[in-house]
Amino acid sequence: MYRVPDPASTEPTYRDSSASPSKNPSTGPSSSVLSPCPHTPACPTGPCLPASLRSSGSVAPPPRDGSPEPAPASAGKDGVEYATDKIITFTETMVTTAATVGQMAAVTPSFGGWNWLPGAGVPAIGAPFVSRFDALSDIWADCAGILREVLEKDRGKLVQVAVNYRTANEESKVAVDRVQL
Amino acid sequence: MPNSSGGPSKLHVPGAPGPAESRTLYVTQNGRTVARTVTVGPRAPDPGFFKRAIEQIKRYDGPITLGLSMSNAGKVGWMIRGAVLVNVGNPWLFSDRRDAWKEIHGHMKGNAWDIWYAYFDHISPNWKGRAVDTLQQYLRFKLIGMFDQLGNLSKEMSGTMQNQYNEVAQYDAAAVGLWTIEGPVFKALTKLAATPAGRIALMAQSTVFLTMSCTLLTQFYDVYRKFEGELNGLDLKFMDLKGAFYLSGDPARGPRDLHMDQRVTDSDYWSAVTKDNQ
Repeated sequence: MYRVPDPASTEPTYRDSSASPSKNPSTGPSSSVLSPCPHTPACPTGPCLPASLRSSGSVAPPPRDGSPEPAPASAGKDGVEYATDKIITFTETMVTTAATVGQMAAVTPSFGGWNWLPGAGVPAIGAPFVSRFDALSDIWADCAGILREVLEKDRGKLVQVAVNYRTANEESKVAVDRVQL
Repeated sequence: MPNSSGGPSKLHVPGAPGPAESRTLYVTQNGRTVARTVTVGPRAPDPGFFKRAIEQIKRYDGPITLGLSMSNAGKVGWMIRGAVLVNVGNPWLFSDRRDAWKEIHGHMKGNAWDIWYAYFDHISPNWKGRAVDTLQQYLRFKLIGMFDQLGNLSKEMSGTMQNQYNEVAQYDAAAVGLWTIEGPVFKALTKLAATPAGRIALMAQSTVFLTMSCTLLTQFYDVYRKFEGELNGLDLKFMDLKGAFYLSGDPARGPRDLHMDQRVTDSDYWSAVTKDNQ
């Protein structure tokens, strides 16, 4: 970072050094105080922080659309914390999946009651077949219910794994600290 | 992985039904929260084909019943006519179920992929140890297998519904066509029934009508006999499903233990990939 002393005096040199004249209008006026900080979490006013103190070590990556996640988040956290968080993320997928499966079980199509009556829309000869379809639908719905229950319970177990692992990790850190004292 | 954004941000359901409102599915926000609502439907409402078919039949039914009774076809003619009519069905009932099963199929497949991608995006890069291997096996052989079973059967059901829809619609069209053609003919002949020649013509016509009705009915019965075979196949496939979900495939004996192995649920078997140990 460098401070631009006086816009009036520097303007000619900018014109000389800048590759394209179109760059001038953007750099010229804003740099009258301080050139814009290139880091993603903007540094506090004044000169930019050294790389080690910045929360995210990356130097202003070109903002790619929609994929800011993995590296910056991990850098700020302890590795174990990050990894256990990832288990939680995985279990969140299980939660939504379980909800979806549950809903599928709830809306499993069948020909309920009145549809079997003659003249209501199911051909008379088809009525016995329709009731057999309904029986199959019921089996399907029951099995989907089992799958949902499995997803929900196993998700709970995985969450417990993440919690246990993190707790154990923190306890061991405390123990290490005690020994070192 | 298709994207590195830490989540299956967009998984398009293969074979998902066409555009309709409120289908904001499979859109997860980056990483953490998954914001979506899952709905089956709304599908197209009953287009009224059945209603129109019934109206059309009713319009021409008067002359036909009159002609049948005047030609001494009597009870048999009445029964055959009734049998044709009670088999007129509403194809929408089947196409609606077909679409519902199709959507369910899409959801099941999509969700299986969600789980699978979530595993490869979140678990496998960050963890190692016995537990992760076991978890992967559990996903591959148990969980995804369950999704597959359910998804395949919803596909089968959708196909069967499509067949039913097809046959019912064809039968309806045939019945409506028969009534529409025969109605005016009977109307004309009943006017001539006073004359001996007219009476003979009416009797011949009602014979033709009843023969055609019988042919229509037999064809339809044949169709359903074929469905018997299809249903049998479905029954067998559902036994697969029951076998996968229930002990000995018997719901009365209760569901199988489909949960994760002890090794997965014990945090001792897990080991995080960190800077120190990778």
